[in-house]
Amino acid sequence: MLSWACRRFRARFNPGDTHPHRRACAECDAFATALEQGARVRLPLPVSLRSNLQSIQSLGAREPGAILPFPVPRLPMPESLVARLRSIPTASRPAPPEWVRSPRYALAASALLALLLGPLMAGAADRGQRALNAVRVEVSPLLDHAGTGSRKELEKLRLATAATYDTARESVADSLHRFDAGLSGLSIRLSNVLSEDLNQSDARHEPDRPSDK
Amino acid sequence: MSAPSLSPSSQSSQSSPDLWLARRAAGGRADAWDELLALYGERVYNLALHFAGSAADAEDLTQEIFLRLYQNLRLYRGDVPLAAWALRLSRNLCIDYYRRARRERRALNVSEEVLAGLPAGGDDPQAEAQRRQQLRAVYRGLEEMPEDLAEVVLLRDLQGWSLEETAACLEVPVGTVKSRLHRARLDLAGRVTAKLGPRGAAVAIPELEVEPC
Repeated sequence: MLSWACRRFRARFNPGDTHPHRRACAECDAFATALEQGARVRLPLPVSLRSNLQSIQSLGAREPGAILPFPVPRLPMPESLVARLRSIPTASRPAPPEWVRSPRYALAASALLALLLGPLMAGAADRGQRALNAVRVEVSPLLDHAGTGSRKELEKLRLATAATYDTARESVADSLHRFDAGLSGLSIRLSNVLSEDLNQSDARHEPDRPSDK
Repeated sequence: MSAPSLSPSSQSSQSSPDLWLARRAAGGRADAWDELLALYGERVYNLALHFAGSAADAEDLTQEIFLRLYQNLRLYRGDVPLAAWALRLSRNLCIDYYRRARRERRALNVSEEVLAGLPAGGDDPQAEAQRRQQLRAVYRGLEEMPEDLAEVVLLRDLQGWSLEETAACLEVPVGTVKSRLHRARLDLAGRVTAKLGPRGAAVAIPELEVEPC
């Protein structure tokens, strides 16, 4: 007895469907596979029926004055001819030239290339060295000049930075010194004021002391 | 398979699919080449059968036609139906085969092969025999006719090509095809009359007023 899910799957299945139930149920998967294989089968049209159908089609196309009152039958193409015609695109594709296919031509071409390019390649190292020297001669003075100029500029920059630093440091030290001096003066004045206040206070309390006795 | 035919009104709409098909086939698409063979293979083969006079030669001719078609597909512009264009490419080849077949009197064999493919005549064997006789007479008449007249009858009446396709294949205007077809039918009617007698010719070519030679 099929389950409800199986019945539902089978009733709604179309070839090519990928329903999750198909993966879950082996029987339904077999059912689906069989249906898909069946859907791919196409029966050929019988030759006699095909000929008759063609004659019906041609019969409708007859025009007044046509030389025959019935259609001339058309013969189907022989299978061998169909195969020959299908192979035309691959058969008529241009083959690579002989000098590509033959190893003899490849060897000869390699030897010829070596002969032609050998002298050029042999002098390549010397020419490279000469070119490097020429570059060095041209570029080294420029580099030296650039290095010297850079060093001078760096020295100037360093001096200017040091001078600016010294000025700033002196300015800060001077400010701190002045602040320290101001603070000391303020402290002295404050202590003077406090001592005066204490003296005046002592003086006010002095006359009362004998009467207490 | 129904043969694609072109009515005057549908020519422009038909040329585009042909062009698209040709482009795809020229680009190496195997499915396009197969589609092209399915559309036109049978038509070309049947025509080749009439030109070549034997099934073996017809296969060779069909293959050569399709080979030329494949080699020249990139040149197709879609201004004429593809089948007619293919035949135009191979016209000299077809004429060579046709002349050889006429020289060797092999064209008679075509009618035998075609006769074998005639649909059964039902319960009236006499009518079927009459049809075979008429068809033979027409083929014999075609053999005796000038090539240009025989060609137009072959394409239009025996192969069922449309006027536009016939004109494109023969590289003449449609009006020329019509007038040539009319003259060819009259000529053929005279020849068939000579073979079958006025009564037989009247049955074979019912729409024409056949005058005895």
